[in-house]
Amino acid sequence: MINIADQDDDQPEQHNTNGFSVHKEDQKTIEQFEDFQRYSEKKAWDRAFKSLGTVLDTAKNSQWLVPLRDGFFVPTRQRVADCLMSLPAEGKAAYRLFYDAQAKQLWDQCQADEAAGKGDDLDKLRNVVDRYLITGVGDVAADRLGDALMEAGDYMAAARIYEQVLMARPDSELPAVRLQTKRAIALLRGGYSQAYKELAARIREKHAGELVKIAGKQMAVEDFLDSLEKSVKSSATQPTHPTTTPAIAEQYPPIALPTGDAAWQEVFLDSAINEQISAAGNNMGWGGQMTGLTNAAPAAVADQRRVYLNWYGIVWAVDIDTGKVAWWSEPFKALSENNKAQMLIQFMVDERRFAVVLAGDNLLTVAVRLDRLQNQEPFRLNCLEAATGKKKWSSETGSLSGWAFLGSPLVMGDTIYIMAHPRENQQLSLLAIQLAGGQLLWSRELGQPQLVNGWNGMPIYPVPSLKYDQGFIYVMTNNGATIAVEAATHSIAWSFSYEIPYEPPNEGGMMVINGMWVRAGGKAGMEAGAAFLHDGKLIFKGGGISAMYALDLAGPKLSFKRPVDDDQLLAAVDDTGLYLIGPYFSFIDSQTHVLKWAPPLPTDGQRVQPLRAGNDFLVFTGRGIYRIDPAQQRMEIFRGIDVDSLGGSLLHVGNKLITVSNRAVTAYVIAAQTSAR
Amino acid sequence: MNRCYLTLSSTLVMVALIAPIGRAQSAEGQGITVSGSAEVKIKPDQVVIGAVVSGEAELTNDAMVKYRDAKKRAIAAIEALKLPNVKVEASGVSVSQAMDPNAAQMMMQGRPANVGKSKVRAMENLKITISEADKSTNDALMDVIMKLIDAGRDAGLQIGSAMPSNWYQYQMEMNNGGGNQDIPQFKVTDVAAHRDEAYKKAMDDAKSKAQHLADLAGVKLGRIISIHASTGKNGNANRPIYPWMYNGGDEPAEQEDLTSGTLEEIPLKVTLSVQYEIEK
Repeated sequence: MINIADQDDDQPEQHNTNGFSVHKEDQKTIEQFEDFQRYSEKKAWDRAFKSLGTVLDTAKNSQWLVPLRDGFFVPTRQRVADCLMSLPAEGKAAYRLFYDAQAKQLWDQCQADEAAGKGDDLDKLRNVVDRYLITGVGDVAADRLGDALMEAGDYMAAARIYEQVLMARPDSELPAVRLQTKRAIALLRGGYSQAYKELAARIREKHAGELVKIAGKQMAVEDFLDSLEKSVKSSATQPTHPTTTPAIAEQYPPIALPTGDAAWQEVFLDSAINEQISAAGNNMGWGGQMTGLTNAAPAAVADQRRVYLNWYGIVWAVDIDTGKVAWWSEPFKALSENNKAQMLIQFMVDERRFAVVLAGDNLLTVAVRLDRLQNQEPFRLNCLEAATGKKKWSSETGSLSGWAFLGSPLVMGDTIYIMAHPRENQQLSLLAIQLAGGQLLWSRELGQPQLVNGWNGMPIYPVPSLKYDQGFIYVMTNNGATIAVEAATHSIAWSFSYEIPYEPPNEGGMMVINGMWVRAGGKAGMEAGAAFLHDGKLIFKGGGISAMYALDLAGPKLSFKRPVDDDQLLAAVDDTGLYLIGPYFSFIDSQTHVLKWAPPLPTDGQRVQPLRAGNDFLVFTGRGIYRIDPAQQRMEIFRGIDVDSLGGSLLHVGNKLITVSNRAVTAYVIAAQTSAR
Repeated sequence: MNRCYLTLSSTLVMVALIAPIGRAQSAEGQGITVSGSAEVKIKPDQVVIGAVVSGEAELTNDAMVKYRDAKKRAIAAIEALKLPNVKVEASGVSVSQAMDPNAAQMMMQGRPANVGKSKVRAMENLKITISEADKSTNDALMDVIMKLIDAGRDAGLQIGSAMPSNWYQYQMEMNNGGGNQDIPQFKVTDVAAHRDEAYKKAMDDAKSKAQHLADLAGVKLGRIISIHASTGKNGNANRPIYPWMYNGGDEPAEQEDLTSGTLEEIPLKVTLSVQYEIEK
């Protein structure tokens, strides 16, 4: 199913606020909500409902957003549903009087479809629930929608729907204990353990001894909850969001620092290539200063047999046992030949955009073809055979050919989710792509990023990152917005806007000294953003942003905002703390949000990515591998042999710890008791 | 008296011409003035490494935690080396407004800059001192210095001046007298003892020259009338020394800084201008 965003003549209103701009309804539509509020207060129900009707009739796109609170935006229809639920009893009665007939007609249609074996149509059910939840059939329609969402594995959305029925329809004939129990099931299956515990306690207290019939079985609700908890614990299928957080040591096995020499080292940026790249920069005169070409570590990923790397589009695999190159797309020297290095500088190819991800036997890469840079070649998504490097498909042809890709792909089952923009404009979209053949399944336009132009006028795009949880794709734009997209319907559930620093136009990453443009220095290369899902919260920090945010997904609502350094990367989140790396390692208490420990860390490379090892963190810096123990507030260093590098990322495979720097891949043997994960 | 003056003046002018090894002249026609010099080479007995520990953040408490942990870690790292004769001294913490250096440079150029949110910076200068350095061999001393620099940098200390991030920044630093990238400073701490030795040698040198001139002139060398001294690495710290040496009074303040950026024997040069009376 392909769902290209509407491209009608009415261009979406772009709010020229700082940062990513989602598609918002125009001011007239937003004012209708204010009218609804005003008329409701005056009990002028006909006018109030007319205002909402006007919203639904005139809204340009049900996917466009209206402001909610605390930086959140929701789709217009969601806001309408919230407005109806907020009506007093008198207002709800009036609404039924006006709309019961229309609601019943739609609901009958849904039932007829189901009777005809068409199954549940989520969009139709949603439409009934959004518009007519408070009418006579709204509760049963919502109950059906909740069940359908549960079946689709969208537990959080299901839990929300059941909650809406309870709140909006206290008069419903559906037993409250049944709705609450379903909600508890959704929360537990979804892994929102804390929310489940609180709800289960309330059910046991308020509905003690009441019978509940779920899936044909009738029993006391307490017994049902007990059996539910047991079944989830013993279930072989782990929920996406774990119900009980495993011990850190289980999730992240402790890794000892190496003690001996390297098992092998494979240098890709040797002195000859380094000199040639430097010479290429020098030959460009002033423009040559604009490069950090040799500072970036390649994107890297590993399976049990090989390390796969993507260095400015040169993709290769290294055998983990021997350190020998298993295959490569082209030799490393290709980067320094035929003016490729100069073109990378001239066209401001952004090193952050190269990515490599494993998906079973497939290797997905995001890279730009260097030989086509002069043709404004976009970043392409490619699927290779991991064992051989043979190309399976590429976005160079087919339904993906018009897209330029951004950030690492996220693979869920047979579907690839990735951000991209059309070659001809800058609107960012979330794409769902079939892994097997590279067919575009659907795209959802999300909005306009705030771009800056580099020294040569080329736009610099943000590099988004993606997370999946409970049927939602969370898009961290790293540009001032985090957006939740429901995977099943590929509709925007909500967007959260946050402040990003103002960048003067045309001065992105540049500064002026003595009247000359130079590349701005001082940042530690921590431009990447990161996000973690923990206990029902999405905790994220955008690259270059001086704050981290926690969004409670059950709301959604802003749980907390905490100032941190703009050059820090959010490295991990657990019950104890929030951890960031950058020029300082930071351990922030997860409850009080107080900074507990912040020793300096010599991170000065790009793509520095930590590796969690039990309660410790390993960070590969230009001064060696740091083992950081926040609990004991201790650090130790293994210098290693890649001391000429700027550091980079770490991979743990079997009994090897592998460092990937801006110049080499190096493997060290580590103590045998640490197992692969 | 006038005649004597004329005679002596003529004689001294002649002697000065034939005795280039020493400088002799009459001082207001009352004696013989010579220059005596000496140089002693001293092995530095102290090494000083400057470092900065700081913490910067939007929240003052965060800045202080960063500063505190940076200092704690740096001192612990240096102490863990268990090096004898190594001491870390802190100069006291200062708390100030912090500003992104890139933004500062942009503003200095009159361009719009992303100043960002106001930040607080807690900063303290540390002085890492190795004493009794003169009792170590050069190799052993350099080994200690390298260990200290590495341990400090591993612990996140800024040792030496911050590196410029681009060519223009570097150029500006050089134009403004910066660019000294020496990390350890090698010092002689007890200058006075070595200076006395140098003075004595310089006095001997001066007396020898004066006596030689007197002999050539056929006069008898009398008492010292005045002394001016120049001391230091280049012998250019000029000051009157006579009142102290011969008439008592306060010793001149010790301002000489026998410091070098390289591990070598540091020369202490003394030049004395001594005026002798001619006995009649």
